[in-house]
Formats: sequence, structure tokens, C-alpha cells
Amino acid sequence: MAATIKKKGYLSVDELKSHGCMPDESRFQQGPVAVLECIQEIPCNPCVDACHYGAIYIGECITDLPQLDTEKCIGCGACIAHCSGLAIFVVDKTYSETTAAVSFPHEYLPLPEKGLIVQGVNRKGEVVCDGKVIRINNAKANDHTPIITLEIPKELADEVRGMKRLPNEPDKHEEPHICQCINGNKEADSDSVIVCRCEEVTAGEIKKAIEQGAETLTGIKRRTRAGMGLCQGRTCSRIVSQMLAQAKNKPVSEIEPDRSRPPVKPVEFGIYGGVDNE
Amino acid sequence: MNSSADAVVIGGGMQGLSCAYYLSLKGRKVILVEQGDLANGTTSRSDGDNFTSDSAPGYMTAFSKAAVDLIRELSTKTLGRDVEWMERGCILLAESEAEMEAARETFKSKTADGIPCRLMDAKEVHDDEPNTAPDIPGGIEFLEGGSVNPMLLSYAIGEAIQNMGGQLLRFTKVTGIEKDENGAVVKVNTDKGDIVTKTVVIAAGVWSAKIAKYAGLDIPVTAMKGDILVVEPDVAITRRKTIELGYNMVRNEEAGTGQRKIDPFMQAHGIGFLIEPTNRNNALIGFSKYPCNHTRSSNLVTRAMANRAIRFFPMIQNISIIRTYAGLRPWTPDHEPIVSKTPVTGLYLSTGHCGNGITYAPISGKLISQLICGEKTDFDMSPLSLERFLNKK
Repeated sequence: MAATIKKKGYLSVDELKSHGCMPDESRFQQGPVAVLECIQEIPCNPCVDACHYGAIYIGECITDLPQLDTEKCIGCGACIAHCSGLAIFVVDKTYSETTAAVSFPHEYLPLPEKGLIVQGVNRKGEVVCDGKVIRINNAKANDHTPIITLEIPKELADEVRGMKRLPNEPDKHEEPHICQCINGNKEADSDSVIVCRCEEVTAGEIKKAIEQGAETLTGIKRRTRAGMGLCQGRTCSRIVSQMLAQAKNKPVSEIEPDRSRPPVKPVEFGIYGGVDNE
Repeated sequence: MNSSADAVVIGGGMQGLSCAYYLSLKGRKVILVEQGDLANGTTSRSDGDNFTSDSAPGYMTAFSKAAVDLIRELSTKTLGRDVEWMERGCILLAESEAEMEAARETFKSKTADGIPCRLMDAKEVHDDEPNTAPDIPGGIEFLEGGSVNPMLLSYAIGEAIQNMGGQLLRFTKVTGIEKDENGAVVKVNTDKGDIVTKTVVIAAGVWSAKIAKYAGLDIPVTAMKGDILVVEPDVAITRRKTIELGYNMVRNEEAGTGQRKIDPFMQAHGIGFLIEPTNRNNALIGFSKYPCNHTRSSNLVTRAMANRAIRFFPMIQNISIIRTYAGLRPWTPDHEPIVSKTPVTGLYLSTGHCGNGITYAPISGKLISQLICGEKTDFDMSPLSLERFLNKK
């Protein structure tokens, strides 16, 4: 089950087909349709509510995989930005005689401009073709998950699932200081803002750890558990670094990052210990 | 910045903090010197468990029982801080009928030493811990002992020391120990200045031998690495700490070690199985034991440990590892601690706790304070003395 994604981090077309994720070829010939590349049974269902046409079904058990009613689906793409796993795409194999259109979430800045020729990448992240950006949907309802639609060669419609990230333009995209976000939170008591979501550590607890003598990210982690959870600090370490830098009156660049320890991302014992029979 | 103190404790891990704590309780003016943050070295790389199951019969079992009682009291009462103490006892699992025989022996000797435990057959083991591999023939349950977050305990002890007027010099390196013409300790040099004192305690774990050399003393403390795997949170594998019986053989370097059915790589790296659920709903998985001088996780060792874990709890194969870490146990030739005065007047040692450092810290700190204050010690100090090694030469 889900062999490639656990071992390599991406899915193969064969696996998707065997899980019934790919709509029939006849449906593809009728126009755009959603492709739900979701084969891991996790408790998650925002896609169901995202669809205005009732085309996505999960049912009573929240860990069941979503099922798509391809007759009800019109390929509008409303589900794409609502999938927290970024696992939903819309494929239109009827875009033109020789090309198809693929829509995918793209959470990287800078965003491309319409008409730009970019590099299409497959599920592995390898560049497989050039593609033309035909739409950028960054609607408010998407909550900062822009959807890019790319025109690509028709034969690659089942392969292309993203575009290569454009080079950074540092001057253009100055992000707000995260501490300002915490301190500027007027609605709630800013100390109660949760910084480490895995271990539910608040900004107040981190400030207290710094007051009590934590000098480094590791010192804060050992006092509060911030960064000890499932994501191992991937989410919170930048915020904690900024808080520490602010408290110590130093630039963030002088804050030493916490040590990341293997295996870097969660790996099952069966795979790690080498007794996997697959 | 020069200063003076009744006693200088070198090392800000559990040993040093415990020594400074009990000395402060006795009214001594203490300065603790630590090269990094508190709990920076082996303390933060340990698993924080506290049991009487792995100590040698007789003296060391009595010592470990007193140690567990004292750390429990500190963690749950004296300090008044939540340090994630969780007491559920532990189970030692036998892997084969031959090990079951060893389990019966252990049960007999532990019972004779007054440790509450019970022998379990296969059914009792599987009723109690249903995820255990079906072929496990039995084990022993120890009713007492638990785990603690060693870092939080260290910070709580540090706070208590400061409240009693003790001083914690963090991020300060010891650069020398000075003696007078009679060979007695008079001064500790650090990169931030000198401290005038007549009493120095070296409690610097694997760094102790280097520090002792400053006072012209050779001590037999080396580094013995151990790796740990951290399991994803909120998965129930066992209710309490569960260890393979082979751990005792590896820990105590017994001849029986060779009987375990493991490959030469596991044999050479002292690899076996233990799982320790924590108060925060994840679990730590051990263990390994091999000479090494760095704390990088070994890929081959941690993978072999994962393999060994699956042998005892097959369901583990579908559970994720989120992190591995490693620490260096300060090891001695007879794998028992050195809590002792030394041939250098005024110089004391609390080090070489060989993988039981967290548990043994408070009792060792208490004994050191009794030695320094010239009181009657709770235990006969000769089995813990530095002399036992010096005499062998």
C-alpha cells in the first residue's frame, strides 16, 4: 500500500490508477475534470465542502479516501486550494488539438505572469516540458494558495503536476516580520498565540524561556518543547528564531539554527529498519 | 571577574546540579561552572528513565533503590515543578527459554534485595502488553520506577540552587585548577576569571577526565555512545517501559551477552531493544552501546535498532520515527560510578555513572555533600571510590 509515496515521497501513475484516482479516458474527453491524487488514509475532508456540486464524497469515516463523481464534476477547481495536502489537480485534455491544460496549487513566490513560458515538472519534481501560463487564480477564498493553469503538450497531461519555482526577487517580496504579526495581534492576548503547533507552545512560553536563560533555539526547545513535535521545528523554528533575535537585539542571521537530526522527515520503522517485504 | 566560594562544582548537567543543590542545602556557598547551557551535554541526550532493574545485585541494587526514591521525591515533591515525572514500573522481556532462565535468576536476586517485582509467563506478558511479539515466553515486571524529563528537572534544580544563593556560571569554560605547595586545591581558573576555593567537585561527565588532568589526576572515564529513536506521538505501543532482558547483560558486560540471537554488527554495537513511553505521549526507543567520541546519530546503528524493535513489537514497523539522537555515557572500567574523594586534597569526583546518570545524580550529589561536610554518608563509599581503580595499578 502506498509504497512509492512512503519510500520516495511521490506517487506513480500506476499507483494512482490502481487506487481509482484517475478519471476514465472518456471523461477526460468531455472537458476539464478534477484528479484527486489522495491515497493516504488521514483524517481530512475539506475537499468535500469545497465542492459546490457535491461531486466529492468521503462519508462517515473521516479517514476514508475521497471519491469523485466524475459526472457531477465540472472541473471548476474550487477544491484545489482547499486540499491541505496539495493533492488535487484539474486536467483538461480538450484544451486544444495538441495541448492540454493542467491546474495545480503553487505556494511559491514570486508568482508567474500570464503568458510566461515556464518549466512544467512531474510528480518527482523533474522538468519534463515547457508550458505557458494561461491563468493565475489567487482569489481571497484560496487563502494564499494560488492556482496556476499551464498549457502543456497533450501527451504529458497525466505527468505534469507543477511548475519549476521561479527565481527569487529579494527586493520585491519582503515578508512581514513574524514577531510583528505576533505583537501586532490586537484581537487576542499576543502571549497566547500558539507558535509551535505540534507541541502547542505559546509565544508567552517562549518569551518566558528566554527570560529564564535560554540563549539558543536548542535552549528554547529544551525548556518548552517548541520544535520537538512531529514536524521537528519545520513550522515554528523561523518564528522562534525571530523572537529570540528580537529579545537579544541581534539580526536573525546571527541566530544559530537548531540541529536537525535524522531521519529529517518521519519514516516508518519497517522501512528504516529494512524489514520491508514490498 | 574574580570571586570566591566554599565549593566550585564543574559541570552543569544532572550530576553537577545535584552536587551544587545538596551543598547549598547544607549552607555552603557554591559556584557551578558550566561550559554551555545547563543540561547541555549527556543530560539532554539521555532517556531520563529511573529503574532498579539493571543494577548488579547487593550494594548497587540498594544504591539504585535509594536513587530512585530520591529522584522521585525531587521530581514530585521537593522542587515543586512539573518535570514530566511518570511512574509505571517496567517490564523486562525474555527472548527465549534460555533467557527465561536468566529472568528467574534475576527475579530471585531482586526479590532478595527487596525490590518489588513479579515473574510473568507468556500469557501474563501478552495480557499486559498485547502488542508484544507472540513468541515472547515471559519476563519480569518491576513495580517501581519511572521516567522524567531530565532537562526540566535540571532547570528546576538550577532554579532551586539560585534561590538558595548559589551561583550558576553558564557559558564559562574551566581552564585550570591550581594547587598550593601541599598539593591542596586553592583556585579554579575559567575563561571569565578565577574562583578562589578549597573544594572542587568535578561532575563533568565525559569531560571529567580532561578536567581532572588540570589537577594532575588521571581518572578512568571514557565515552560510551548510546543512540535513541523518537517515535511519532499519540501511538500506543506499550503502557510502560519495556526492555529486553539482554539489556542487563549488555549494560553489565556479562558473559551471557553472547547468547542473544543477533548478528555480529548488533553484537559489536551493543544493540538491543527498549521502549519508553513518555509523559508527552510519544516514546523513546533504544538501545546501543559502543565506544565513540561524537554525538552524531549513526545511520547503521539506528537502523539496526529499528530492526530489533520490530522483533519485540511487530506493530512498530508501521509507526514512524521522527528523530534520532545520541549521547555519550561517561563509562568506567567496572561500569559503576565514581563518587569519591581523590588523592588531591579538596578535589572530589561525581562522574562515570555509565548510563544511569540521571537516576544516580541526586543520591550521588547528596553523598558528595556528606563527604565534603564531613558527615556520615548514607552508603559505604568504598565501592564508589576512585581508589578501587588506583589500587589495581
